[in-house]
Amino acid sequence: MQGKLGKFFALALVSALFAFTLTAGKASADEADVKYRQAVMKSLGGHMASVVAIVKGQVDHKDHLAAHADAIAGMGKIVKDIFPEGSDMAADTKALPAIWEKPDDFAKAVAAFETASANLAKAADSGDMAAVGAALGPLGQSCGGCHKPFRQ
Amino acid sequence: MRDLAARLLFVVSTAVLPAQAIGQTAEQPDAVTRGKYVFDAAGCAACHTDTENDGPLLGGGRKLDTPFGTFYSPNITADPDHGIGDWSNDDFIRALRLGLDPDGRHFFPVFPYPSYTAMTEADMRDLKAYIFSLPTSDRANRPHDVTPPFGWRILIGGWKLLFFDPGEFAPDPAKDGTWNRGAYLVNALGHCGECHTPRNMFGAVDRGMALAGTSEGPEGGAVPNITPDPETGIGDWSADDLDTLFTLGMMPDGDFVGSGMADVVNNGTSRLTPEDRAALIEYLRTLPPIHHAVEAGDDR
Repeated sequence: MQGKLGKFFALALVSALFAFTLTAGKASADEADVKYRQAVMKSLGGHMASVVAIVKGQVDHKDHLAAHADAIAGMGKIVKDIFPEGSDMAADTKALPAIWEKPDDFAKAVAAFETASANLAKAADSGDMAAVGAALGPLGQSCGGCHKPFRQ
Repeated sequence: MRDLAARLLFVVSTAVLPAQAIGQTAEQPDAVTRGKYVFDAAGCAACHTDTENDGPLLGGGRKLDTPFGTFYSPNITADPDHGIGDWSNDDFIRALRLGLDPDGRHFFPVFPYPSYTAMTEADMRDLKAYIFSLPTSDRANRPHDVTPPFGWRILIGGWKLLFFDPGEFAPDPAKDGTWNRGAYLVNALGHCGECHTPRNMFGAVDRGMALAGTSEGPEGGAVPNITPDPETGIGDWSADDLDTLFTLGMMPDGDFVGSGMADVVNNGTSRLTPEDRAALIEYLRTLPPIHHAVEAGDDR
């Protein structure tokens, strides 16, 4: 091949390969984001189920309540970070496009969860079981309040 | 003589007891209070309110994307021009019992009258009393966006002949009052089957697959199998698990329901009396288990 033309084709090929690896890299980054998010949500579920089991008296671990509630509150603080743009395009996610189409509504739902989980942690730390029970309702509602519009 | 007395007692008790069980709402003093209870259990607010666009309560306009087209719920406030303010009690009862408007036109069964038909007349009257006690809205109805022939109301007459079985709930005398109350709550008011039972190609629920879930629900998404099948349904759930679901919306793995079910829990099942909730749960747990895997996936 002639020098300049050859160089052009070589450059084009390298650019195409580079772009391909970039997008392939992005796709696997999205998958990793989704997996991370799912892990966070599953851990939330584990702690929620534990709190409910304790509050309902199914197990005798009232002394564990603070640990679970603190973990939930900790997740409450990070949940706004685990919905990066484009992570609804990955295959296995149930996150709906509405999250990015309605950022104000989504932010409100996230804030409700953050507040409700912080309240549960406060109640658990105080050891007041009545307060814990009272905090559980709004917390559960904040889960549904996000899942209803933003999850399939 | 004793034999006759025993027979009379049997007849009277089977006639009276189930009716008392169903009419539990009759314990409240006034129609509007009783009507609110029916309203919450029947879930009217969720479909007839356009919450997505901050629409007024029962003002209609809520979009329902079904496999047969896009429907917009009507205004059912007591506004005389834009709502149902000019409807008589008989009009209201006919709508729920027979799926007909006051001019005799058929409603699309997107309005789940195939379930509401089983409501008692007392519940229907109380429901109307409550709805008519609420603030009115003059929001105009939006026409449905349905592909022909599905938009032709006249065809619904034929559909009804084939698939619609109107009539008030008839308690099963072989079962106790609690079971019958649960059956009434699930099948008439809760209209659970409208989402949880798969439909045939004409959009009618397949009664042989009652509550066995579907991968294409009325709004497109997957709806779980809630029969007691241990593999594909909720057979491994305890009664307490179900109570936690219906009060908190939490499932045994700590996940929380989303979509339409969140409304059902928040506005409906969490507001039932504990006795009614227990009856609903008892009924669900005695249903025939149906092995039917629904492609819901549990990836979040």
